[in-house]
Amino acid sequence: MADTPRMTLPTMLVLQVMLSDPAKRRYGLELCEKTRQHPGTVYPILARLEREYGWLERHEESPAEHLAEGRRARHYYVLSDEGAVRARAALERAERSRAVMNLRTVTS
Amino acid sequence: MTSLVAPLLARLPGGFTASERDRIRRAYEFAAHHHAGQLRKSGNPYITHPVAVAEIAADAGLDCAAICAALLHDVIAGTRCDAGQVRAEFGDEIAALVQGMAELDRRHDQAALDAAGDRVLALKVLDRLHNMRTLQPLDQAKRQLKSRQTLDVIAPLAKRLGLPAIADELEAIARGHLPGDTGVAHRALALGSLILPSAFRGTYLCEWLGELDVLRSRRARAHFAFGVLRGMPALALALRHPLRHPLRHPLGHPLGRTLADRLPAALRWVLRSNLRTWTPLAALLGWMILETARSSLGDAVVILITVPPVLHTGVSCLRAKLGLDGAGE
Repeated sequence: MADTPRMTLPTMLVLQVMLSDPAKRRYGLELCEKTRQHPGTVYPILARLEREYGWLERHEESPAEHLAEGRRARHYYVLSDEGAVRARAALERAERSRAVMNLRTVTS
Repeated sequence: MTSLVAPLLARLPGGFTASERDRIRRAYEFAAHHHAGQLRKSGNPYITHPVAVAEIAADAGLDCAAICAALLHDVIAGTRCDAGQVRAEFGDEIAALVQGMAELDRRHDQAALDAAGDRVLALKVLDRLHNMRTLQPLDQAKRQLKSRQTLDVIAPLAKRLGLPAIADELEAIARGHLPGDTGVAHRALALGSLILPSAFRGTYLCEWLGELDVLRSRRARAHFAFGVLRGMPALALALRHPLRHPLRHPLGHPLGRTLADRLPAALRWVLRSNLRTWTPLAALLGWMILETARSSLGDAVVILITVPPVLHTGVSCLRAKLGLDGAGE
């Protein structure tokens, strides 16, 4: 399990959003809004996925983009090739075990 | 309309010859003719803008060609006049300057800035200074856009060209039109980010400022900053974690890792001997007892009775954990 992060609910939500369009880059605030999680939850998850697991890559926006919109540079996160594969697998596993747990609580 | 050129001519330093003054007057008349009927957003006649830029250029000590180019700087982009007419009327030098400014208006990118000569860039800076001074009639989005460009591109350019006073004025005006750079949210985040490893503090602060720029209401910004602050310890922990992909992340700290490795070794070395363990602890305990005894002798006695056994238990526990059972006995 060492090369997979703990699949907490917020982590799963972040990965779900990222995997909904794996090639699309997303910024932190966007992920907070899409997952309905606090920035305080989302940024540490992003930092872990980027630095510890290498699933995400982080880029600063080019000046041409943010100057045209009159704001400061955003930082974008995008799934790495390997990250997309691993994240999808980890998410499926986590969803299955969650389903099993739900089944147990229902049957017991 | 000649009333506008008279103050400009009066403003020129003494070094200008009669023919230079005449050329400036002709440039004004040419520009006034072509901009006739055009208005600025403020409702003033358009010609007031090139004249103001020319005045700033004269005050900044630019030469005759640059002042003429300042007067003519919008005729190519903003009227039916073309570069050929400017060249026929005023010669190659002035036409090149005017064309250079028109080119910069068309393309805002870095390549265009790099290609432009210093005199064109200086004129561009002065043009922006007057536009910033008269920014108020524009709508909020436009004002913020221009202010952001000014802070990021034009003010640094002014500094590089040796116009520090103009750079300062540009920055001051631009900041006034932008939502609080130095707002509470920013300050709170800057303070909170102190617990992040120093190599990451800057980039994360930039990232959050980029997000704050999009949040329009003060409430939303405060909410965002509060959320980030709540997660700051977790983020610090995530960033301090040793990397598994050191090649992909040149920012990683090899030092942090070796320190973390060395600490248990040092602790082991201290705990292996009774002398190394108890000398510092006894000194600390002695100081504590003396300090307490000054105010209350009773408390000092209580410390003397209770603390050494607690310390002893602690040391034994640590030794057991580190596999040093038997050491120092």
